[in-house]
Amino acid sequence: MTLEPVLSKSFPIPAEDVFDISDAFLEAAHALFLQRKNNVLTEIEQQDLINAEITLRTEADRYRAQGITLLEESSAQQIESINTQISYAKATIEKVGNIKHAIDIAAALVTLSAALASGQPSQIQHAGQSLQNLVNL
Amino acid sequence: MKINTRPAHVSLVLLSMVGLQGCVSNLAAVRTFATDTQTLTSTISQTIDDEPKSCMRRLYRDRTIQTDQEDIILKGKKACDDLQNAAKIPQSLNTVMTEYAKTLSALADNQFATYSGELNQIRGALTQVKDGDTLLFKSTDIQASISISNLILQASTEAYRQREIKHLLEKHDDLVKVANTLKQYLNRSYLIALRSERDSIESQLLTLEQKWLKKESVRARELIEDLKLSLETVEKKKQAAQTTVIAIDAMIASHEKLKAALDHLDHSTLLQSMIEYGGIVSSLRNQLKTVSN
Repeated sequence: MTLEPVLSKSFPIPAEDVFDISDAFLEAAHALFLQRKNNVLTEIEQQDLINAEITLRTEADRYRAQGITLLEESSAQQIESINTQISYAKATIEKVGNIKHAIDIAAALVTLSAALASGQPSQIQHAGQSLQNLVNL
Repeated sequence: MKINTRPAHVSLVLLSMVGLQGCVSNLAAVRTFATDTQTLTSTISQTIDDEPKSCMRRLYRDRTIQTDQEDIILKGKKACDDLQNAAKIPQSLNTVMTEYAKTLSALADNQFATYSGELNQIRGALTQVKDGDTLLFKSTDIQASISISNLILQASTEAYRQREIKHLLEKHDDLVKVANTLKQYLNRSYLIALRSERDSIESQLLTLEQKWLKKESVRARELIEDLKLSLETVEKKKQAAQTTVIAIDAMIASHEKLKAALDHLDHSTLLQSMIEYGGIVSSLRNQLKTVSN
């Protein structure tokens, strides 16, 4: 993650607080909108308020992005724990898959053996190809 | 060469082994949970993707309606990029839940602990093997051997499966923590992004009415219509995100039930208790179908 931090790293702050700061910027942006809506202003004054409103929303975005990055730390240990268990389970799934694959290969070997005994070139070729395909899987 | 007739006591020993290990479980409740969770995480992934998009939609409309100051727009774009980068974090949390559900689903698959298909291939092959014109193996002997092989393999695989499912379900507390962090993301970031988008649309509507209706009335009216449709879309997305939070709670509750039933996962009432969760996920999927970006 290469986000330019909004807050200094020497000033650790929980994600919830960073989200609160973001909310406060949005509230301020909305207050500017209401100011524009409820008052008679010159065009220049209106534009100044619009620009300030957009800027405050951008600040809210920046703090929210920072808050999201802080979520990672809060669950890092749990993620590692679940991932470890998933990898164990996947090893078992692979083991079972290998057994099924071995049975398929055994069946292909027997088919090849029967084809060889039959002496039919087309059967032999077909059986050999099937076996090769399984071994290459 | 012929396969020797199987001594009766060998069959009895093998069958009693199978009996000790238990038959193949019906893990419909686990499968249902895993399938619904994969659907849920797929919708969460779309939701996470939408946050930086929401930022860009807002900015694009601001550029069209609100301001022509490039520095303000460029700073806004940089913040949207920050959100895009930050989205990798909730996505990685969501990926953990997806992988968890996929693994659970693979373990609970009906075909996981059965080898009938593969063994039937062998049976078929063996019945073709001839010595001259004579079949080498008796069909009845082959059938008996294959059946016993199937039972033994099922029993051993079933033990593996039960063990891995149990270990996965025992990760309940870790899963809850990850799920709650995703809820925190949805509540504190995504829903707030939608609020910002909604507020900005209201601001843009005001600008169109105060400034542009007098100067470019036709174009302004078109934009007003578009913005009203966008407001409806944002509202639908908000409702879908709120349903997602409810669905995560239902997922946690369902997982807790599965964990509590570790020793009788094939109990029929367990499947029934997954229905509420499935209903919420289904409702969420339908809500998202009505939302277009």
